[in-house]
Order: sequence, then C-alpha cells, then structure tokens
Amino acid sequence: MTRVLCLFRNLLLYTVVVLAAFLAVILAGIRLTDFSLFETYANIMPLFCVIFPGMLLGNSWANANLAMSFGARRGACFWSLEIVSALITLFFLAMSFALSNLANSPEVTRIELQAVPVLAVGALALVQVMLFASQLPKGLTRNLLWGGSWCVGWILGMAMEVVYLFEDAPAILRPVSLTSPLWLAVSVCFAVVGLVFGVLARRGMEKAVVQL
Amino acid sequence: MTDHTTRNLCAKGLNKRYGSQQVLHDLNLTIEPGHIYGLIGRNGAGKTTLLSILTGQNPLTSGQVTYGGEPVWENPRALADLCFARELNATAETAQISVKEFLYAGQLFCPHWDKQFADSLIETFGIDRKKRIAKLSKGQMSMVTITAALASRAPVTLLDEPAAGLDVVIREKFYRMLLDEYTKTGRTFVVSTHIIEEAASVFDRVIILDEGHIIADAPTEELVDQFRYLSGGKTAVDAALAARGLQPLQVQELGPHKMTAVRGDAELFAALAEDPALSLSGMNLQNVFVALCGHGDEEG
Repeated sequence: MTRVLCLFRNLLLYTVVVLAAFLAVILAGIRLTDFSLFETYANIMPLFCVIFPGMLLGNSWANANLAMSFGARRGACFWSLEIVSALITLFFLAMSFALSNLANSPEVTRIELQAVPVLAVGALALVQVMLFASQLPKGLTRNLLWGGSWCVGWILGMAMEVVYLFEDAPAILRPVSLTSPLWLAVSVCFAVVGLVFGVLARRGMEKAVVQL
Repeated sequence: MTDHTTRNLCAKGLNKRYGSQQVLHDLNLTIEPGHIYGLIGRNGAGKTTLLSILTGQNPLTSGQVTYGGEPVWENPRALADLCFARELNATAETAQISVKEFLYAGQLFCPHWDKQFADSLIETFGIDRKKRIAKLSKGQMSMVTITAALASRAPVTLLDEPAAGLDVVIREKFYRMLLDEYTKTGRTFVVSTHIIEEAASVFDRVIILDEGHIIADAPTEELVDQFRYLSGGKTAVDAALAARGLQPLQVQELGPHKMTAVRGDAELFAALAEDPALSLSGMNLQNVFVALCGHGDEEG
C-alpha cells in the first residue's frame, strides 16, 4: 500500500501546496486590503471543502490503473485511494477552519468546530461517488453522477453559507452540527450514499479490467 | 538456479465471457520458464484478454491461473514476478502522464526493476522523458512499452503487440534486444504479435489462439514441420487427399492446378513426395498460421 501511496504523492503535494498558497493569498488579502473579493472567497471555503476533494480524486482511477498494470493489488489501490481522499478532505477542512478563524474580519463567517463533521461526511460521501463514477466508461451515467455530485455538493455548501451569513436563517438550520436533527439527518443521508458508492467502487475495482 | 526459473505460469479450464460473448473457451496452457513464446492469433482471437488474465489484470469467468502453484489473482508474490507490458492508448486518461511518471510507476511496483537499464533504453530510443504519453507517436509508445517490459526484469514478461507502429529498423533492434536479454537472464517472454514471419525466428515456442481456443502450442520448428503445401493437377491432389483422408487446410485453384496446405508427419510427406503428379513444398510460420486460422478469408 505504501507504494501506491507514493504514486499519489504528487496529487497530495500539489493539493497541499496550491491550497496553502491560495489560502495564504486570501488571508493576506483580507488582512491587508479592503477588497471584499477576499472575504467572498473565504466565505465559500465550506463549499470548496465539500466539492473539491471529490473533484481532485475524480481522475484517480487512471493512477490506480497504472499501479495495477505494474502489479499492484486491487485491494491496496482501493484503500490507498481512501486514505488519500481522507487526507485531502482533512487538509481542506483544517485549512478552511484555520482561515475562517484567522481572518479576524466581521465579513468572514467563522466556521465552528462542530460544523466540521457535517462537512467531512458530505465531502467523503461525494468522494465515494467520484471514485465509482471514475471507473465508468465515458457516457451518460458517468456524466449524471458527476453533475449530480456537483449539484448536491453545491446545495450542501450553500445551505451552510446561508446559515452562517444570514442571522435570520430559519431556526431549524441552526446550529450546523450533528446535534441538530436536520443536519444529523442530512449527514446520515450522505453517509448512506457514501457507504453505498464506496461498496460499489470497491466491487467495481475488484471486477475491473486494467486498461492503459 | 533461482526459484523463479522453475515456476510455471498455468491456466486451467480458463473461460472468459464479456456479457453474452464468450471470448476464451476452456483454455489449458502452461508457460514454462526459460522460453520465448510467440502468441499469435487473428484480431479478436482473445490474445490481449488471455495475457491480461494470466497477469491478474482481468478477472476470469471460470477456471484458474497459477504461478508456481499459487493463484495469481491478488497474490503479491506472484504479481511481483509477472509483468504485462501492454499497448498504450493515446486517448486513455493514463496517457496524460509523462514518460518519466510512467517509468516511475514501473520502478515503484516492479521489484526487479532496473532503473539504469530503463534510462539507457529511453536514451537509445531517443524519447523525451518529460513528454506526455498522449503526445508520443504510436511507435514511440511501443518503445516505452518495450522499455517497461525489458527494464522490469520480471521473470515472466508478457508483451502485447510490442512491435506495433515500429519501423522495420527499430523492430529488428527490438528483436535483438529481446534475444540479448533472454540470453543474459533466461527470463521467460510471451510476445503477442501480428508481424509473424519477422518475429518467427525469435520464438522458440508458438501458441496459436483462434476464436478463443488454443489450436497449437508447440516448439516453432516442430509446428512448422507438420505442414506442407501440396500442389499438382486438381484430380491428382483430390485423389491424394481422399486416399489418405487428409483435410485440406487452405485451398487455392488456378485453372486445372490446385494447391492446398496439409498437416502430417514425415512418413506422410515422404509418401506424398513419391507421387510424380504431386509437388510438396515447405511452409513458414505465417503460412501455417493462415492455413490454420484463415477460415477461407484468405481466398478473398
């Protein structure tokens, strides 16, 4: 598994470097300038947290094929992908949480620690959908899964933004936490979807014909 | 003698089905160590499918594949000794990586990988390591495949159409490299190809796959020696075939003259040669292949 993880090191490295640089620019912009653009970007970070890990892993099937074509085990490839997606998601969440708390601006909503599990479940569920979709041949089903995941991710991210940005948001939406019945239900739905697509992705990898 | 030089790669009762299409039918095959096998078959015969199943890159429908008596599927010990160098595809998502990244993957996963050898081969072929695979010509992609196959130093190396897109000079170079590596290391190679006659001198054994069935698996010379072209007047040829109960494999007629390929042994060929109305001539591997797999298509 270590060798498969090595193959994904570039993806991990680029994600860490690009995201860290992006957030450093945003943070500097918020602190040192009056442009509201930086606050806007900081505020949509929860949305990025949900959508981007899945998008970044969307092309991982090609790397898995490459590894398997040189003799890597399918099981090792699958669990390595799960570890990589968990690390990327964790990094996105940590950086978003840090940014919202370091921005020190009334225009930037502060992500509370209790919202992190809700975001994590959503992001990891969409990663499973992407892992499965990337194994499908190019076509309608794959496009629908990609498009559907993108839309669901947007809805989840935007719903959280609404809660954070508007103080008069409906009470049922507060707080964004697993202790709230609504968000618990949403998280359970995402978890079930994630579990189903995770199993499908594992089975798909088990049956796949390696192609280069 | 190292351990891997005694291990056979075996397929028993191998069946493969894609949906309703049966691609391989109850195949039994043993790849013995220390040989260069030629795997030949027409388009769609199942060559790539067979090679990918033998290396655990394609799940089989039924049967079993073993290496040194152990199952190949998801078995790290077996997979470490096997390398399947396949044709690269410019339109695949994997083709977006560079040659350097491709070879790095080989280095990561092939425990016998020889980096120096890989570097020298890439240098010899004059390929830019930074270039994406999708940007390479068909011939250059084959060169990358050959590099991965040879540098893997895997005890059993399977190559799928390694000569595709290569010009004749590079093909000759490849055959020399292959023989050189074989002489030095005694590795086992299985090479699938459509350029039969050119590669025939390299193979010491030949496997012919026809519509998912293995119809020949024998030392090259021994196989070729089982076939002759029998020619003469139509009546004389037909009489000779009928008298000996011979099955004409490939028939060509021109006016009163008839020529057909026949399979037999030295005794039969000696008897046919005694008939002054008949003429016998030898066949090469390509002729044998066409005779066995032509199914009449070769007559146009």
